Amino acid sequence: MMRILKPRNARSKRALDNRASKVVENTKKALTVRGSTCSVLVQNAMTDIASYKQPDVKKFQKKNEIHPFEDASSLEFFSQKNDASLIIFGSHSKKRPNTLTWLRTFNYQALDMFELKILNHKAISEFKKLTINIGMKPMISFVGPIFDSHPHFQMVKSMFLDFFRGEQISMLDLAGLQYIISVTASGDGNISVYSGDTSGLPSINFRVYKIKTYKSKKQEKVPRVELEEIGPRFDFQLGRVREADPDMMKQAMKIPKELQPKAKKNVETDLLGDKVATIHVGKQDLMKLQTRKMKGLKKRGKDEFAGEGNGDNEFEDVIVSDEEQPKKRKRHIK
Amino acid sequence: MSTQSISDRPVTVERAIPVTYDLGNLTIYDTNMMDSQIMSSTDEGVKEAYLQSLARDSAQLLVNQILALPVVTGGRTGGDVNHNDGVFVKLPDPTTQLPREKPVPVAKPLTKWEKFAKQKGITPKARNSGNLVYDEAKGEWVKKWGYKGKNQEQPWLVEVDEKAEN
Repeated sequence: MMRILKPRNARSKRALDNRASKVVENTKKALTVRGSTCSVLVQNAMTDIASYKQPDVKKFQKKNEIHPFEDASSLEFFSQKNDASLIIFGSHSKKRPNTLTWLRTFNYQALDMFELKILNHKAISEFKKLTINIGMKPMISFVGPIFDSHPHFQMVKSMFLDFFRGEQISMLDLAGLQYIISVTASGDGNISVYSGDTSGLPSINFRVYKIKTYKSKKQEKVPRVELEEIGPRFDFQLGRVREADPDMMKQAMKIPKELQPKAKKNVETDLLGDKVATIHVGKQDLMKLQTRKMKGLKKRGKDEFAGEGNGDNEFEDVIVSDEEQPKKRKRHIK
Repeated sequence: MSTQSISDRPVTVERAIPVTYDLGNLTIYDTNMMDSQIMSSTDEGVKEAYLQSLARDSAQLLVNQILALPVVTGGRTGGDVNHNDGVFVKLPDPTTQLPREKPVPVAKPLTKWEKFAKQKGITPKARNSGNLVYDEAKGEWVKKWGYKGKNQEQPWLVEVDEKAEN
């Protein structure tokens, strides 16, 4: 915040605490911002994309004179004011027609961003109307080796996942599997990373389908999945990319201690695959140890020659049983 | 396409390179090469049909994986209290690491009182924890006081008072 807000009542305190850093974070909110040259096509595109982000999206209506790649500070300000860490900025120019700039923030500062030029767009309204409940978690599919090999495409994958995945849930109602977002990019992964020229890169196909399941004759437990396209349909061309500052990215990727998987101490799996654990027994008092009683070791009161003779006694009594009294003499035990 | 032919279609998907899943995010990563001929064809219908078939296969693989997860039935009887209706599937934690939106919270410095209390070993007073108490005989939790509370229990065995009877 520009100025540090002090909560005046419990309600505002709760609102402020909701925006503060947490161990387990809130679902990321998104903003759609229009540039000063944003065309109707781009506006509709942003509306369509936002419909799959509801209710965690805010759509700005006014046009703003912003150039994200030159100066992202006003977008950072919007992010802070609205507590939104994902921003889509739409613009249009002769050089870069129908462009969406996707931006992610960390601590309300620009983390990474890239441009996607819309090559063709088919709006949701152009498809058959099939309703999807708001807030449903989508299935997401990334097809294409380039998503694993090319760092820019890895960034696109990460951003799309961040944007569309929705709320973190541990229990999924099977009726909630309603739609799938399919992101594909053809081409092999052997495109030079640092060629700088992004025009040679393959286009990214963005499709959304509704899922219909049919009972399968072949297998009772698993249904046959069929799809029907509900839109929007996009073909994107990757434009400029601004990668994250490595230090900032390192901060952003930190996992808090509370969430790190705890290694169980003392428990290991040995080579045979057996679980082996160490049980810690308390300290034993050696004076009170119960051992086998050796009469010969008992202390005799009136010994003049002590020391090494003690060790000899044991052997004398055990081996040579004729003698009644141990003879205290220095002996070398062989 | 009749419904009969759909149910005859296979429910398994073959893939050259095995795919990876992130079930916590309901995501599938398929690194198999796409058919470049179809992708570069000018016929939009062919291309769209191909993309739809790829997506269908991904969806089928995902659904197969999800249905293999442990099922938790809702309701108070052994299931999750928060999910009452329907059949639920327990999703694992997401495996793909995505950047946080805010830094990891730092531990707040102890206030002057907290420091003092810690040093002196002062702990907050243990108050009576609510109204419920475990009744060993019944094997359930009963109220200590209030309507049908334990303190209002009448003795179940009362000797006959001869004076009162006559």
